[in-house]
Amino acid sequence: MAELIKQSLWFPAIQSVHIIGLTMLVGTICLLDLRLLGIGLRGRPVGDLASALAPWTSGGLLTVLVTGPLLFGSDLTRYLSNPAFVVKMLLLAAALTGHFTLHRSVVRNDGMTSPARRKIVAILSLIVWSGVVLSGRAIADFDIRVV
Amino acid sequence: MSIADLCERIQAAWVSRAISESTWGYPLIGALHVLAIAIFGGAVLIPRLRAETRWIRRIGVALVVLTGTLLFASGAVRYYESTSFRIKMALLVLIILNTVAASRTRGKLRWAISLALWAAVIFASRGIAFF
Repeated sequence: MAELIKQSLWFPAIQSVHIIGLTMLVGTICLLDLRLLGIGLRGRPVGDLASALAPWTSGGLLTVLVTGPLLFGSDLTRYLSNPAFVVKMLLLAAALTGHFTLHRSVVRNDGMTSPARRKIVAILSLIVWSGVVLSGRAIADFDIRVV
Repeated sequence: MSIADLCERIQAAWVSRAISESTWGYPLIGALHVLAIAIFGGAVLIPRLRAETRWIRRIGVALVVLTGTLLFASGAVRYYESTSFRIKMALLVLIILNTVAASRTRGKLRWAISLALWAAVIFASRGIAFF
């Protein structure tokens, strides 16, 4: 299956689904972070916004977690020797860990969290998720081509 | 002057050359393009947040268009010749038409059409590297 994906239009097709998934995942997290920072959507309580966004965030996460390994599995050598990929995986690990611990507790206990804490968590979240997207896109630019 | 000639001239402009000749220009602008898409995309997904996310969508679109134009300029001839790029541009025209129409009536169908068109744009964008 790896060869089939690698050498056909399946690869860009799966990549496209991956990008749609990342848009859902990162886009909705960014919205929530902007709300936590008090920059946008101020008329809507954090909990309310979080529950409106949650299905899209989860759907996006599921999509990238299915398509990502398919892309990775199609060419292990390429990805493992690609510095941007390694950076992406480290950032992703940090982003996911933070998302399900710090970020989640701030969103759930909005009324009880100090403003400083929620701002720091929101900024960190924006930074690491942006980093995941930026380094993911950079994989294409950091291929070490075996001639 | 044909469109192909125009693309030659765009590609030869100093901004375009600064991007195509630098090491970091294209990767950086390309990465920002995708990030802007994610920010914009998150804000268009949920119709009932439409009014509240207006400015976020505007900033997102502005950034996507700006970075997209720069990427195009850096290799205008190659993009112009790509079938996939032409399909992408046609889809973007449809999206604009759909948005103009949707501002009068905000149906669920138009929202669904819009999401489907955006998904198609992403497929067409990835296709540029192939045809």
